[in-house]
Amino acid sequence: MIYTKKISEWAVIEYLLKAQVLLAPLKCNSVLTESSCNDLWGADAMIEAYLEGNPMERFPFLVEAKSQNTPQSILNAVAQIKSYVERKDSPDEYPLIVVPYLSPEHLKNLENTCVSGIDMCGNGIIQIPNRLLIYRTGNPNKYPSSRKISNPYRGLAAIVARVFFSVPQFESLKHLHETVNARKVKISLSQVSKAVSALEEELIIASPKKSIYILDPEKLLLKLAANWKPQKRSKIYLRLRDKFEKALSRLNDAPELEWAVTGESSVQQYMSFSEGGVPIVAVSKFASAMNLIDARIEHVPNFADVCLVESAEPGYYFENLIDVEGVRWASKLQTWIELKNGDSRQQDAASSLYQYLFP
Amino acid sequence: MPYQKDILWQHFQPIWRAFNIIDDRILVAGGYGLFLKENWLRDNQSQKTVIPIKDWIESPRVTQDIDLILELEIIGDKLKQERLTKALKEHAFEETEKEHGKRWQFIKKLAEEKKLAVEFHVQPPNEDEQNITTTNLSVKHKPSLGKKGIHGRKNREAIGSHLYPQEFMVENTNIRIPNTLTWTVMKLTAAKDNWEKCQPNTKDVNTGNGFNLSQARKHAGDVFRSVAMMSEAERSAADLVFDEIRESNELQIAKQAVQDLFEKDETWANVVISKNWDQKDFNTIHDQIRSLYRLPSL
Repeated sequence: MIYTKKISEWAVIEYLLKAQVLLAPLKCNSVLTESSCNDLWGADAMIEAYLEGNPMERFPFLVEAKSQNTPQSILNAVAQIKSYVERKDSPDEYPLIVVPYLSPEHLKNLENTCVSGIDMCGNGIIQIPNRLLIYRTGNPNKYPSSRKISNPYRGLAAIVARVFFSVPQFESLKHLHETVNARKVKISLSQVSKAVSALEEELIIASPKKSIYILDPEKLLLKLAANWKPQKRSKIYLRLRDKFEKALSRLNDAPELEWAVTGESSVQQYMSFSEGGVPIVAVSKFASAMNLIDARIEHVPNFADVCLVESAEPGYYFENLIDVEGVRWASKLQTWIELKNGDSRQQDAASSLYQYLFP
Repeated sequence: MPYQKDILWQHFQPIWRAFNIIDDRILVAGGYGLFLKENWLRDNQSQKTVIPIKDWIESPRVTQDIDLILELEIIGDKLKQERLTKALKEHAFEETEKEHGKRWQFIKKLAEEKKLAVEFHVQPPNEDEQNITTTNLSVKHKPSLGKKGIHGRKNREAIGSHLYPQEFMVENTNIRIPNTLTWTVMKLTAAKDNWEKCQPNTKDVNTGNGFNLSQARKHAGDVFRSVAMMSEAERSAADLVFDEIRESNELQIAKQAVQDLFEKDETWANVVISKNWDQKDFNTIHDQIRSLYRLPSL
């Protein structure tokens, strides 16, 4: 069952209060919150646990609960609980964080922190040096995090992420917004702000004080590639009456029409790569494109000169490389993203292009 | 393709070259013609065809029969007849022992009890032409040339074969095959005829006479192959051939066969053929077949 309602911190603590099993085979004996205990030193709760079959040996944990499972939240929780334990100066009490969901990646990160962590889905790591190690993973996320923005790696929001590969640092949110708008992308300041917050939570960018800069470009690239799922597109094959470049450059005559050669067909702009098949050109509106391009429809793909696909996906049209003849080629980043999602030969090509992506 | 390893080619090439010296309008039809073209495309992958040869699932098949289409003129030409007969003899081809195939089917015995059969086909004349006469099954020289002449098996479906033949080189040998439209007329008719022989009342692909069923499947599959290997120029040529033969009964029968065999997903032909092509390619080929016969897209 997946719970879609936004979860509160109190709901996490309530979960602990009701839980009989902390992380099998570790069972809950008692849970004290600040309402019943004034010795928490800022923590949200204290739990006493024992191993099934050995009730005499107790394991006390000082607990920090968080309602979100973003990397930022988890990082904050770890820092906080460590500081509480240090302040309390009680070496027999062990730090523990509780969040709605701990992914395998989160668990792996926790391993190095010496802090235990459990979630509300049955995953967790209990680590007490020289005494106990329990590791459980694989249970699905019942509490998908409700970000303020649905996905910062897809659609218009992804443009905010992409711009960091040409401008790695911005003086302010306003500067970032102006930079995106200058690249002919219509996005509001509030949308940019939400995207920035989401990226910050993922520890991909940082914005201490006012400036905003990229922290983890490799992770951002992987996220952009993994989230590249353009909308289902209708396509049409054409025989051109003019040379390819001349025919396509006519599409520039309609300022409201967005168009560009897709990444998979733009590879040769950035590296040596022989690609068979018909070049694919994305257009925002078929009707506008067909009014401008002098061509006839061809039903045999192999006889066509070009394939037009209709798509509103902004990634195709962002930061295009425009050649002397007016042909708009996909950006290097867009090319890499499409190659990464391609067949094994294309993925090999993506590896070669990778090093040239970093600002 | 390593032609030197193809036993059929080893025996076909010399006789074919001899025939070409006599008359360079003879065509290789049937399975062997398709086989030669398909192999040529595999050796020349830059040639653009309806379905790129590298994407074909099915591999070329081997056959032991070679169907040749002759112009009517050759049948009526005594000198050419004699030269063809002489060439057959020189290359160890002998008249078949079968009663109905006499003078149009010639067999060469190969090693290990294998044999190669060459069969001559010809379009029936429209009316009695000089030096030509017809029987129920054949077209032959008048007066009879006896053992010094050959017959052509009447093949109405070879209509238009003399128009826009396809040509390509294999090991310095010019090969000529019929245009794609004529080819599909022959194959569609053969597929339908064989199917009707084995399945008069049902469309169940799994029952019926074994030989006719396998022949029906083979011919239906060849319709798709011949169109899949069509180039753009061959497509334009097929369109011109259509205009030339549009009033013919044979074309109308073939056109109806396109609808009967391939129009609905569950027809026996589609069930068989769809195993050899991926869905996208199957749809493209089917669409082109319909286009050749000026049927609307489905």
